[in-house]
Amino acid sequence: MTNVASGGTIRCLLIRAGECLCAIPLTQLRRVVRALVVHPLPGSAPELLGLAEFAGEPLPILDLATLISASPVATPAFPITVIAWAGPPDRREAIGLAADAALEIAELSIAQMTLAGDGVLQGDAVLAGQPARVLNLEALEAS
Amino acid sequence: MIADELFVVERHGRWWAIPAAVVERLDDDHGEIRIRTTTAMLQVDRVVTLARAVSVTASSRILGRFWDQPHEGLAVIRGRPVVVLDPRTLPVELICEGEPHEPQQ
Repeated sequence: MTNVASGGTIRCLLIRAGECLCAIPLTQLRRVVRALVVHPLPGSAPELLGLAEFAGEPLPILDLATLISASPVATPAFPITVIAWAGPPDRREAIGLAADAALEIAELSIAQMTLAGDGVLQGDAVLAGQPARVLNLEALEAS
Repeated sequence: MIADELFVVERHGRWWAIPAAVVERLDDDHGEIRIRTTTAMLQVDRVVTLARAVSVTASSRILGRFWDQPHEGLAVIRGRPVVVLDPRTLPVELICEGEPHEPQQ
């Protein structure tokens, strides 16, 4: 992700996950597709919905709302899957994020972001007039 | 990695792949399918296929963060993602009742 200490802006895709609006840097995105068919795995953590097939490869699918501890909607349907890169750039992996909607691309001014930490939740900002949680999927492997 | 032969089995709607090299016997006892491997006796609902020359990808580190079942890798067989099992640490749901399911030494 862009070095937050250096300031500047990053372009993000705004995604609805439960009651939460998330911003994911475009550099960490691969594609947004209609919900993939997910095959659950027994005994997995709540964040992991299961595995899906994408472009002939197996792909772990995470529940984005659970991943960021957002309140889920009453009956989540996960109509979209966001295919993203996660983990450090030198050993990134493709993952799927089950979410409720992909909304728009927004420009995030890093100076206006309130930093939250070094984990997946990097900070908070107001984007498109709404409070949004800024994600850094590079930190997913370690956090 | 290419796996020579994998038995793809179904249990409770889930598909699993077992390296054929560790399968010693396969019995269909009135619809109860039991598979004797070198490490355990398994019970499955059906054998989906014997897949040959399957491309197996290394296990994802991110998957491992959220699912602690040891396995050898992942594959896509008949368009469906399948976990390729490590015969030494098979999932409890495949183990026949009364069989030990501790990791083999």
